Amino acid sequence: MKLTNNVCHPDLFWSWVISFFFLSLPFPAIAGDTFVDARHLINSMSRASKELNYDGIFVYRRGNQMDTLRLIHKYDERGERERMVSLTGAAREVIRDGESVTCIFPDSQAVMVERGHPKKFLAAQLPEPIETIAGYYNFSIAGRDRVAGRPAWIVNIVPRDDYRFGYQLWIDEETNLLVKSELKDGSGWPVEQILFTQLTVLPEISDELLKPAISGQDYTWYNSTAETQPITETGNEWRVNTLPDGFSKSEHEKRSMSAGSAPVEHMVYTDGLAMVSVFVEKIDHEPGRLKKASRIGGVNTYAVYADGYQVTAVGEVPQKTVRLIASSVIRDR
Amino acid sequence: MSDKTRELISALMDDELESGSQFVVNAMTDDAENRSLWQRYHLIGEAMRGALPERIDLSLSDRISAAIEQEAAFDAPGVQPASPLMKPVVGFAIAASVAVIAIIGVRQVSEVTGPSAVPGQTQVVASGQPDNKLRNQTNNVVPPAIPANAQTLASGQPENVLRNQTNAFPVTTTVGVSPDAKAYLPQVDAETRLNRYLLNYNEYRTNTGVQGMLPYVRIVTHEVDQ
Repeated sequence: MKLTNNVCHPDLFWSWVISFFFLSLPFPAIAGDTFVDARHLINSMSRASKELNYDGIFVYRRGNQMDTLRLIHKYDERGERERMVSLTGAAREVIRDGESVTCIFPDSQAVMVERGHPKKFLAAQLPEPIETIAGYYNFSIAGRDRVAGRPAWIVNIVPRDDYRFGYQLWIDEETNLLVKSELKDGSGWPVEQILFTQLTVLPEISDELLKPAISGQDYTWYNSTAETQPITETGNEWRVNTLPDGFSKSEHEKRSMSAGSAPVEHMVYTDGLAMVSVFVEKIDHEPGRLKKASRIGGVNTYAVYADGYQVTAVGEVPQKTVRLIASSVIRDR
Repeated sequence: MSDKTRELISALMDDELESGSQFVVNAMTDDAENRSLWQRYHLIGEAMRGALPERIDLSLSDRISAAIEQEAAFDAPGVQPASPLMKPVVGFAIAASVAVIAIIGVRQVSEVTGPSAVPGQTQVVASGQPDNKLRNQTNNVVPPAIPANAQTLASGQPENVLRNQTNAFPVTTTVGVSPDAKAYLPQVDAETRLNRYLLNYNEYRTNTGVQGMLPYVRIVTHEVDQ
């Protein structure tokens, strides 16, 4: 797989956010005799989220639904390992290490294993010209707050048009970990929130804590780590004709999403912050009742059917953006 | 059949039966009419969920029941014989479960082989762990959606009875699916497809764009909102 330096390297992202800050105006904040600027703050957060051992409980809210989850993060000579488990509803889990992502669904007795991806060089992670991002978002330090009993800085990322969401991040002043975040729609309403109610930084994390709660016996395993995913540079047939300003293609591949199935064409578009995936899949007959729009927390999806193909746009962007993109997909040859 | 029995079967199916499930299971195993009611209720449920394939072989579970009835391996040496009371229950539970899996299995097999699948060639293996065997054989069922249906269909006590008994159950019966069961060009359902897309999206999302929101949280808590 080409780009996917998968899984949990938030620092890669933050590294270019930092770069952005480097190029933009500094936003200094004074707290007592502490001098803080956004660049320093984000940089520290990036490092902390990767290199600390921590165990926390957080609330995840989207729409009317709230869930509580536990996040355990370990960093040692083997790199990063992380386990996220739902404490409400079905005890679903996602366990990630450098090699794989394992999703456990006790409610359907299924385990999915996806391959992780080797870390790439930083430069490969940097998006299109960083200056372009400045045209679509404003960044600032908005003030201070208190989360999980600890003082935190607030960082604002505000889009300049309504084709993308904004972000507000709360960063713990002591440990620099992210303790709260909000994904905001055009009116500033948080469509999705994460809020740590408890967060403990530990000298080390026992391996026991990273093991799944279930044995996986009697479960159905869907393991795609062993599969080779052929990527053809040629033969890509589709493209998006209309994109919101600032979005450009970062990936284009064909892959089989499961053994024996026809390859699905997958295009990835990003403005540097937001990301939209477009999937084009040949389907044998028109679905009777195709549900066009769906929303999963901050992720919107929009599907259209044409000429035996289903085109689906998926992204952490407003509904209008995925609709615009999915509706403008055309056959390239 | 009394309305009471009908109600009880319905409650068992919905997993709402607090007591007396053994009675209902017995009533179903003893009575062909009750069995077919159980089957019909599940069909209705599947139809309401829009999860039915185009064709279903309704006689399949009966044939499996019959095959299990004759299965000599059940009494094989070294195998703890199930109590006479449990035997029909187990047989029924397996038949019900396999019928569900047959549907899924046929769908998946056809997905691999495409429309050229020859009638009668599709085979369903009823083994000690029918679902695992079949699902593994067709391990391209990515999403939890289909197994979830399977669980619903073979829901409640019969399923549990089945699981408890399967170790003592080295049955391997091969049952040909009737020609009617094919001719179905399988499609992964819409929800399944969306789940796959979401997982793939997350895979890219973890290293593109703002990462504050822990994208996998959506997998852990995923239910489509609207």
